Amino acid sequence: MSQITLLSSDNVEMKVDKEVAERSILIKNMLEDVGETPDQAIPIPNVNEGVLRKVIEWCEHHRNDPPPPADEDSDSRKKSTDIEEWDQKFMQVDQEMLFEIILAANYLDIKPLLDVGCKTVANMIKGKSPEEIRKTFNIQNDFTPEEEDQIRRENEWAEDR
Amino acid sequence: MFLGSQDTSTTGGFDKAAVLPDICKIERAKYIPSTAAANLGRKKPKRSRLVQSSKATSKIDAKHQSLLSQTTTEAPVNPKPDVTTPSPRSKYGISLLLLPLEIHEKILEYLPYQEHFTLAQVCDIWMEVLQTDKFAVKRYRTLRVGQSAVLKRWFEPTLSERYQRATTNFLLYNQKLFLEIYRDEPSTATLIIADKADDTRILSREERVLKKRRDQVVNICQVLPQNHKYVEIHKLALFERDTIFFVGQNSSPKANSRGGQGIYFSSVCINVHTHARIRNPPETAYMAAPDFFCSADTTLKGLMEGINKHVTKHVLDKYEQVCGCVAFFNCYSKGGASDLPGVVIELLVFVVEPQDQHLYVQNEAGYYTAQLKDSSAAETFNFGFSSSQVSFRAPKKTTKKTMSEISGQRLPENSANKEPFAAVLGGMEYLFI
Repeated sequence: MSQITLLSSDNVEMKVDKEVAERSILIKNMLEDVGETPDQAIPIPNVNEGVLRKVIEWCEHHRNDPPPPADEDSDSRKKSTDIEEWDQKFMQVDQEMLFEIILAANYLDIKPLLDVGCKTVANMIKGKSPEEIRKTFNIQNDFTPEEEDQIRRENEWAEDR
Repeated sequence: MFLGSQDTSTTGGFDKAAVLPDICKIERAKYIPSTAAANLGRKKPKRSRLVQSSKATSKIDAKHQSLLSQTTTEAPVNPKPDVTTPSPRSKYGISLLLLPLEIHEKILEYLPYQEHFTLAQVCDIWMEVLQTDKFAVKRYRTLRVGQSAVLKRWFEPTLSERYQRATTNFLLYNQKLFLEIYRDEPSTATLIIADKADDTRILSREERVLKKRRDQVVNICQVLPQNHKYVEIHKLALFERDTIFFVGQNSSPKANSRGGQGIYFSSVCINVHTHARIRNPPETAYMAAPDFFCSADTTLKGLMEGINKHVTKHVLDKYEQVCGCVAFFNCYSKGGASDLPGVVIELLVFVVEPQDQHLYVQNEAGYYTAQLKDSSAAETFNFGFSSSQVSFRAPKKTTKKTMSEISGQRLPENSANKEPFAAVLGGMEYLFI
């Protein structure tokens, strides 16, 4: 099986099966445009070594998955936050890595990985009050005391959930 | 030049890297996480300043990081870091808020509509995202309990055009939103939301009383979900921003010369003690509110304020025996030739029984009848039967017009039908002069 080399943003080369790398639509299109397996390493300027290794790990595990449907977003109401057990474990990383994986998946155009990442974040949000969400994600609260007071009143019902 | 001020043109790429964290901070400082901020006069952020696509987002790479650390050591040092205002990158390399807008959208798509009202309070990015049509459709479309032919005709054409403007009309049509206006009490707008079956939170006494009262009222208009809860939304940000949307022929905000589409009331009277529904005659089913119109730009809040104003002026201030009203949206018209052009609201009017004239409905041996509770009050009434008809009349106008005439259908004695006594309260049209 042919292999290609990916070059991370911190100049680390990684050999990977072409089939695995082609889970990324970005790489797949690029390879199609080139027409043959390139000898040179393909630069991935927005993804560092650590994140790229994680992404490749995910692609390796899901190398035989069917491609996602083209019009997957047609009905967002039916979206479920269920995540496969392997993916759940895969996503048990710190927030920085989680967001980096999401960004990498978005950049490399790996929809299923992006979905898993977004579902993971959604599950972290679900059922929390605004203040808990801010705390979880280290979101700065720049309210004045008056705004704080109003927010608290606005959120009274949410605390009952 | 004072210490700490540097001319960036002379430092080249060195300062370019050092600027990155400041950009993050500036972006975050502009976020306004709630309408609370808007109410307090803070400017609403524009979409264009939100985080751009990640495909154009460059991260702080190792080179930049080293430059950044170099800069940090050379810049004037603040000996006491401000821990109360953490930078998005202070703890983690990248924070949620630095993710591109499309990823925020994707994350929020996975969250149920019930969470929207909470999520909108977290940060202004989410508030903006949740206000978009894509999410408004989810919010209000999900509230639909059943699809009627009428609803299909009015709304389905727009479904093919995905994510049209916010479809608040679903919310209105399905009576999932109601407004409570009681004398000497602040008005409330409440949403009926299906609750989680496993929600075992114990309600306080006040909450139980309020829920029971609402259950009685709402049950008159619709079948409630087995597990449901009431969420007061009139103080929430989305309530202030979600707008009414007109579909069909008259979709223009200027549907008529008076600046919008009409509001029509269908009034129903309710006895406060029994919570029995007393329908007004069909010919008075729809009464126009002459001084209140709404357009595609009308927010839910604006609509509620208009109804509140109308009800206060034409009902509460006019009739002492009316102690309060609950407004449901029971119909939504596209304004076709055979339709009423506008929003039709069912108004439940709570009427206190006049003193000394206690009318009540009593079930006797499987059928219903109507009696005067206080027999001494009978002198003021003409009291009679005509086959199956029972009527009471107060010729001396000792009561208000709304209570001047009551007639009802008496069921036969052998009827097994448990249908409640159906009474018609005359003179209700005067409520809407």
